[in-house]
Amino acid sequence: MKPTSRRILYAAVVIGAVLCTPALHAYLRLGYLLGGRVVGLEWTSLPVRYYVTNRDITGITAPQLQTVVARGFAEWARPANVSLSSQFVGFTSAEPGDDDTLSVMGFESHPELDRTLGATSFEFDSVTGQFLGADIFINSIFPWSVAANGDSTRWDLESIMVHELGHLLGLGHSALGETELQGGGRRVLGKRAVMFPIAYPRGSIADRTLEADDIAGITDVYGTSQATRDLGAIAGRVTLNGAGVYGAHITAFNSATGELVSGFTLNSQGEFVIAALTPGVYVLRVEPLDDADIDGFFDEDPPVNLNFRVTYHAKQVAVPAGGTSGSIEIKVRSK
Amino acid sequence: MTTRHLAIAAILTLAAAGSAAAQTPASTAKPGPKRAKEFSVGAVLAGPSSVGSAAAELNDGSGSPSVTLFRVENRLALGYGVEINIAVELRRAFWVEVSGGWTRSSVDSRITGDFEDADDETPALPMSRFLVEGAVLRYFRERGQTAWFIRLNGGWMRETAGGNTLTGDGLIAGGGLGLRHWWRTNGKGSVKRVGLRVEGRGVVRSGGISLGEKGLRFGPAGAGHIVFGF
Repeated sequence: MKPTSRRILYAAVVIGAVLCTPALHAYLRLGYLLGGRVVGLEWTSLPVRYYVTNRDITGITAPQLQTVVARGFAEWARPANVSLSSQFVGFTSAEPGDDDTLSVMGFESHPELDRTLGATSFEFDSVTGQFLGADIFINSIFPWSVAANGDSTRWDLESIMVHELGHLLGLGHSALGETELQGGGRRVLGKRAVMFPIAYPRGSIADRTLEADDIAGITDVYGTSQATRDLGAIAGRVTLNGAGVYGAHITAFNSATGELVSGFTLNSQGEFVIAALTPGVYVLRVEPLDDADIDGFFDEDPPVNLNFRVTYHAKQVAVPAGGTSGSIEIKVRSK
Repeated sequence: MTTRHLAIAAILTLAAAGSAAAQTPASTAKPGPKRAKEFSVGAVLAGPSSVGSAAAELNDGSGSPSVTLFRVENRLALGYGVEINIAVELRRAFWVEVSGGWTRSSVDSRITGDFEDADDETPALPMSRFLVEGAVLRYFRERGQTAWFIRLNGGWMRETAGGNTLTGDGLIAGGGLGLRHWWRTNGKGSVKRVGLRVEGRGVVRSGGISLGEKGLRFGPAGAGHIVFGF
């Protein structure tokens, strides 16, 4: 029997991240620590075969949910140089979250999760990182819409489904957004990633469409050999008084294209890699992770360093096609 | 062909027309005096110019920008380089010239207006420009060994930055005013004269490296050459 592990991961939320029990070491790409090394999670056997729970909710039928799931998968397969496919197997009486290695999407009522719109859980081979099955539940306590142009009184099902499918495919949360505290939660002021952990307000359909940050993430996991040749990466360290900074959020901005792609430092040495970037010249900005709950991104050990000032790298970084920028060091200062 | 390319093409056409006009009578007239030629080599300074600005924006739920994370103004810094010219006199005071050059500069990106009040920063990236162009020169106000000239030029350029990571091809054109002074005019052998040529130029570029909005880029330039007359 294969060693498997089930974890409830991420949620798209209304006013704050609540449902987060991430035992995984996450950033743009989901992974976990095994023997001191990070094992990335991904589907190695395609297509991703999924079922939809045969349960309607007010205003939305199970076939409509299936249509939304199919469109969501199609959006993640859309970027050039991504090799990804999915297959709808059928409707089922199985529930999301059942320990059955099936991939099931469906509505469930979770009134105790009153800020959680949806969540993804999955089973994986804890040695290889291969996904075995993954489930998505959409919290039916909220009002949902499948209207083409959205409904200002309801949450857009497709937007939230695209986010959750990002998790199902192996992506963690992105921190590419700014928020403000409001009513015990957070309100999005602006973001540039579907995988940002906090949803746009009701009525918005903006998260139906992937942003550059999401595309870089999915290409990093499921990119073709052409992507390896055509795209590049930035690698480096973030340091504070010579020591590595863990959990720093790095944003790469290509002013020729306007693209924003971000990543995190992922170890105590402060090392980071931002992959699948369009070749070009990038400005790098480093900030502490202060626009969402930290446990939506990282385990608590080691502690994420928030005690430094927003800083720009003193040099522009050139990203070559098929290669990585020379190793760079971004020095930040304490607040 | 875009509108901005027309001006550059017009200059090149002018040079070609001048050459053609000079060649036409040569095919019917008796052989004239040997045409004067010049070779010059020297240094160029390329003045700073914009290569576009951009803003890192976050969007609200309608997909419209709602937060400007920061702004970036990209400029080519003052550059320096070398240039060689080969010129032929078509008729008195009217010359055509081909040139090649290389200029070293840097792309400076001034970052301002950070959403979370980070200090402004100006990261830089070294860049190079390679240039091949044609020009027409008209000399005037010749006084002894000194003459003024105006020069109109147009050509092709390639700009590279970050170890050829970023490459942009484009067109370049310009006009300038200069002064040529011969300090040696009695040379024996093939080199008849040696002198100095200095000029100031106005340059307009289309294409090349762009780190923001597209469009024509304007900038000053200057050059100083040692000239050898044949």
